[in-house]
This record gives sequence, structure tokens and C-alpha cells, in this order.
Amino acid sequence: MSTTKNSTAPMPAVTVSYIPGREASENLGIVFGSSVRSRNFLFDIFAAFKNLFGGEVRSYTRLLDDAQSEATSRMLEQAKKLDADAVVDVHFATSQVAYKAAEIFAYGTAVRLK
Amino acid sequence: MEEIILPGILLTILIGIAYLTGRVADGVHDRALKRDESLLPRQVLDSGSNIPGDIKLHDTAMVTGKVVIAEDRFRNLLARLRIFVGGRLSAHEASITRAKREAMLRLRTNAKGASHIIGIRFDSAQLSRGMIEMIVSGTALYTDHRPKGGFPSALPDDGVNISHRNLLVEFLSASTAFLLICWGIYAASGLLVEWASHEISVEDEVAIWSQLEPELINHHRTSDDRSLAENYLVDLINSIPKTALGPAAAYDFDVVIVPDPTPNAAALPGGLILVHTGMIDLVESENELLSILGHEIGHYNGRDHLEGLGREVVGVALSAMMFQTDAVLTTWIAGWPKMLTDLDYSRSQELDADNWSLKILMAKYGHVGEVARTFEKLGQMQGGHSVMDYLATHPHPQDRVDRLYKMARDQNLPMGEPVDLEEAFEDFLVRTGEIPESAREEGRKFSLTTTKD
Repeated sequence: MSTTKNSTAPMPAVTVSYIPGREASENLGIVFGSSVRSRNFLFDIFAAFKNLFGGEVRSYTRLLDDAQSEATSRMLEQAKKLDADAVVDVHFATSQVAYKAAEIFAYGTAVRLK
Repeated sequence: MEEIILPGILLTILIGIAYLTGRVADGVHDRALKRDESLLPRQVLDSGSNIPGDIKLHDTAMVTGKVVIAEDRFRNLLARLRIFVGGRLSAHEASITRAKREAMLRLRTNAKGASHIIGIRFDSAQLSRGMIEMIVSGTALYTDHRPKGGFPSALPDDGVNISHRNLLVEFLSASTAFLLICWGIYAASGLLVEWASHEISVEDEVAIWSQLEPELINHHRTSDDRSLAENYLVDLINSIPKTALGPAAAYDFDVVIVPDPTPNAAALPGGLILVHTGMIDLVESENELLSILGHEIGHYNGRDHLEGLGREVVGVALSAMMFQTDAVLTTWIAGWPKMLTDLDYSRSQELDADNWSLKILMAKYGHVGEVARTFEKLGQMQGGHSVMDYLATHPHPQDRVDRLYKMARDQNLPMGEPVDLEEAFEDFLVRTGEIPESAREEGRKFSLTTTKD
């Protein structure tokens, strides 16, 4: 395969060490993306009520969802700056930066493909 | 006012200093990171566990890098506001990113001499509020391989993880949204409280209040029993014809004299009226005193006292909800509801209360002489109008004087001779048998604020 990339096609990111069917040629190092977000006080109050009765807290699931996709896209942006073809061995981690705010960060190894 | 403005200024200075020191710390750390990262030898970094097959492995070791970074108070406050209104915490992005780079730098420094670090994992925890802890671990491979070119010596450009938003702009937008929301909640709860306070009848209010701990009700009272002066004030209220009291006739009124030099009086739920000694010192006739008590009774008829209490409860609950963990802010903000309640006796509420005051004076004395005398004295003490009047918790006394005289004129109420306060008090003492009739003739003086039991 060539090193020329189609800039509109999304860069593949996988949680295993290889892109299935392709071979990595070069390790470009660690890339990461992070996102810190919060819902507003109304959602926080609803969530506290939900905590009484149990069940999925949809507003917080959406918060994680938004944060995760932003973290991923920021990670891919970094990889793009390194002229990478893919990000392998992607991991996610979370941290509670502040009360009621979640940070999600994604990190992986940027690689160039053969 | 002072109890809010002064701590407010101090808090602003504190946060301003935190903003400056925070920016300095940011810059210093940023430069140190760039310098140290550029000094690191090249290493192959891998979040996977690929041990390259074509190299000779000498040694393997587990390595870690850790860092804890504290956020400045300004950014903490900014984050708190942002969490309340929702959205991206751009204030934290820069320090979180720097924490990762620092941890990575330390990992690689600890793995000095290794050509590869594989199985890299990031982890994070919150040690303490406002601190960011980052730990990164990996396996260092010491090989004969000398990596060169192709991979960065540092974490790549961190620009994508930072919103690059000016912190002051962010602070302005977050606090504006925050204030708008608070105002909205306060206004909405105000309507609710107003509705509720009119729904509760005097009987229910008294019944509810009497269920509360007596200490709570009487915590303004310094001694167990009413003093002679307080007895006199209660007696004065009870001497008002019931028909003039309106709905407030259902209360069993109680009066507490609070040792406070500011001339003020307040209506508390359950029919407890507080009068400051500063107010009594200013009063020279019984008519003046009843004018003030009548005004407070008017507030009971308007249910204004419940509204004030309700708003205060809402305000405290609101500030506790938002800033429960921040002692300095909570203490400061806790001062606000009290001021808002004071401010919030609206013009129409005050007018109604003044009307009751006139009505009560008419019923008791048959004239409204000296109805505004105390406010006249207050006005002379304060001097003319000033800018502070617009911020003050009560209208300028002279405005109240003009208003009361205008109301009396409009209703064609007669003015008459006042009853001297000291004489009225002595009458009361003689009538209740506290002092013998002869004591008066001896010319002994009895004043409300100095007479002890």
C-alpha cells in the first residue's frame, strides 16, 4: 500500500496491536486525546433522583458518549499531525477531575502502514 | 451591605492573585516541559505489547512516571461555574494535558537507556479536590537497538487537546450564564414562596411555629423571662383594639428587645417582633413606638414575613447546593439571602404596612401624631440622599416621612399630641405593681433600655 492517504476517510483506530489484513511499517509513538465535560445542574439533580430509584442515568451516559467521541477524535487529530495511517492498541481511561465532571482520555500508538 | 461587600472584595483579590500565580505556574511548567522533552533520547513508545523480534534484548524492567498538579483557585471556581451551567471544562484541559506530558517525561527519564517502552498505560485518580494525579506505567526494553528518526522524542503537539480559550472570556461567559440561571431560579421560587405564604393561615403558622423547639423560637432572647420593657411593649400591642389589627389579631404577639445599636425592627414568624435597642433609644413618644410596631404588624397582615423567610430558605438551599464543598464561598454567599430578603420588601409591601400603622394609631389614640417622627430623626442622622441609598436595604428615611404624611393627608387623618414614652412606661409599671405610686413622685426616672428586672 502507498503512504498517501485519503484525507476524507476516517483513520482506523483499533484496540488490538494490528490493523487486520494490514502490516505496520513504522511506530510513530503515543498519541492521546482527552475531553473534560459536565452536564448542567438540572441533569445533576435528575441524576441524584435517579440514584434513589436505580436504573440507567441516560444524561450521564450521553455525557460519557460525547466525551469519548471528542477524546477519540482529538487523538486521531494528533495522529494525523504525525502523518500516521492508523492508531493501534487504543485504550480508554477516565478520571474525575472535579465533582460531577468527567474526563475521558483515549491513547494509542500511531503507526504507519505498509 | 458591608458584610457582603468587604468579603466580596477580599475574595476577588484572592482569586485575582490565584489567577496571576496560576498563569505564572502554567508558563513555567510549559517551558520546563518543552526543554526537558527535547533533551530526552529517542525511544520507541508503544501502548501495545509488541516485543520486536529483530533485536537483541539485554534487560526488561517495569517503569512508572507519576505527577500531581494542583489547580489554582481561579480555575477551580471557573470549573465550578462551568459544571453548574454544563459544557466543556476548558479551564482544566491545559493542566490535564500538562500532567500527562509530565508523567510521560518522568516515565521516560526513569527508563533511561531503554530503547523501547511497551505496554504503556495511563491511570488517574483524584487525590484531593482541585488536584490532578496522573500515573503512567510501561515495560522498558533494554536492547542493542538504537532508534533514530521517525518517531517523536516527546508527546506530539498537545494543541488539539486544549481549547485555547481565553480564561477570562470563559470566566465571563460561565459566570453570566450562572447568574442568569440563579436569577431565574430565585425569581421562580419567589413566586412560589409568595403564593405559599398567602396560602398559610395565621392559625396554621402559629400552630407550626409552636411545634418547633422553644429554643429556636426564643434564641433571640437572652434571658428566660420577658423584661419589664418587653412586657410593656407586649401590653402596648395588646391594648390596640382587635378590630384595628386585621388578620394579625389571631397572633399571640411577643416582643424581644435585641441589644443592637442599629435602629431597626423585624417581624418573625409566629408573631415574634424584634426591636433593636438602637430603635428604642431614638423613640421619645409612645405614638412613635406604636407606629413602628404597627408597621411590623402590617407586615404580618401582608404575610411579608413568611415571604422573607421563604426566600431566605430558598437562597440558603440554593447556595448550599452549588457551593457545598467550598467553605469560603459558602460563607460569603450565605450572607446574600439575608440581604436579598431585606431588599425584597417591595414598595407596595411597605406601603401596605405603613397603612396598617396609620390605622392602628388611629384606633389607639384617635390621631396619627408623630407617626413619622422616628424616620425624621433617622433622616437627620443620615443627612441627605447619597448614592448608597440606591444600594441600601431600606428607602431613605426622608422618603418614608414624606410618604407617611402624604398618606395621612390623603385620608384626612388628624394629628394630635403625643404621649411621652417615659411617662407611659411609668404608668405601666405602676399599673402592674412593679413600682409603688410613690416612686414617681420621688422623681425617679425609668427608661425602657436601662430598666432591668
